[in-house]
Amino acid sequence: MNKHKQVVLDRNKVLSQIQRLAEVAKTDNWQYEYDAQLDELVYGKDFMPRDSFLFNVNGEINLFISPDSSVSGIHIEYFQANYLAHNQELQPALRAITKKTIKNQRDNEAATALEIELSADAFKSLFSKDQLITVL
Amino acid sequence: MPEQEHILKCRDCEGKLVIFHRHNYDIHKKKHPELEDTAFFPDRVRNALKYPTFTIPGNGNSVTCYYVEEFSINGIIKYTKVVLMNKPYIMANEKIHHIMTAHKVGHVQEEKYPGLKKQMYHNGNKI
Repeated sequence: MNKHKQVVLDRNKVLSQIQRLAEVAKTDNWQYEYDAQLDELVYGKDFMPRDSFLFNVNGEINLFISPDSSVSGIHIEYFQANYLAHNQELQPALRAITKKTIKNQRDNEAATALEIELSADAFKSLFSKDQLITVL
Repeated sequence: MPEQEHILKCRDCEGKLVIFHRHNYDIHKKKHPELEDTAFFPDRVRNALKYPTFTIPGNGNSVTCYYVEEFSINGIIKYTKVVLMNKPYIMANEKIHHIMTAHKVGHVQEEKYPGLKKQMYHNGNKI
């Protein structure tokens, strides 16, 4: 018997979390982590839930999400080479999030601007889909 | 690179010696819990290196991404992806390639860049 299955995520639940990204991130203590060797950004929980997987939103942004549609993070491959390349206004965010700790007001604003853009990008793409379907 | 404890040591489809160091594995398993799933690791990672569906250069040509198509339902594909550093380090007179990360993914980001040439494989051989 094939153990793999198609899963339809709860679109409204996902949209609600992405729309309230700042609140969700604060509640779950999300952190930015940038891997320069992979040019990969993760913004999310320190440890992703055991049942979480990557769900591609729009060819750039992946969500770490669980089958119950709980979002635990955002994952972007080629963050500098691709995402920031066409979001030049967010360049200061890279410097801010690669610091050990964000201390000054300017870095804080840059990190917040990135969070707002990620939320808006993901929401727009997810909203345009009738269903959020993946396979597990 | 000094000798470090490794969690996986194998050869890829071209016979390259490949190592996933424990330290790097421990970093990536926090974000990719499938690395702690015995149904995925190490067998699916070893399989992706030995029998990729295709490989494609990544991140400024400094790495190679190995993809194996694990299954597909209604056109939605799930892959295992393994990212290998191209530049080897030498230990005991042997070239060793470092696994940078490995996880499941449903999307091939590198396909977005037309300059990156995909190499297809069948049974571990280039086609």
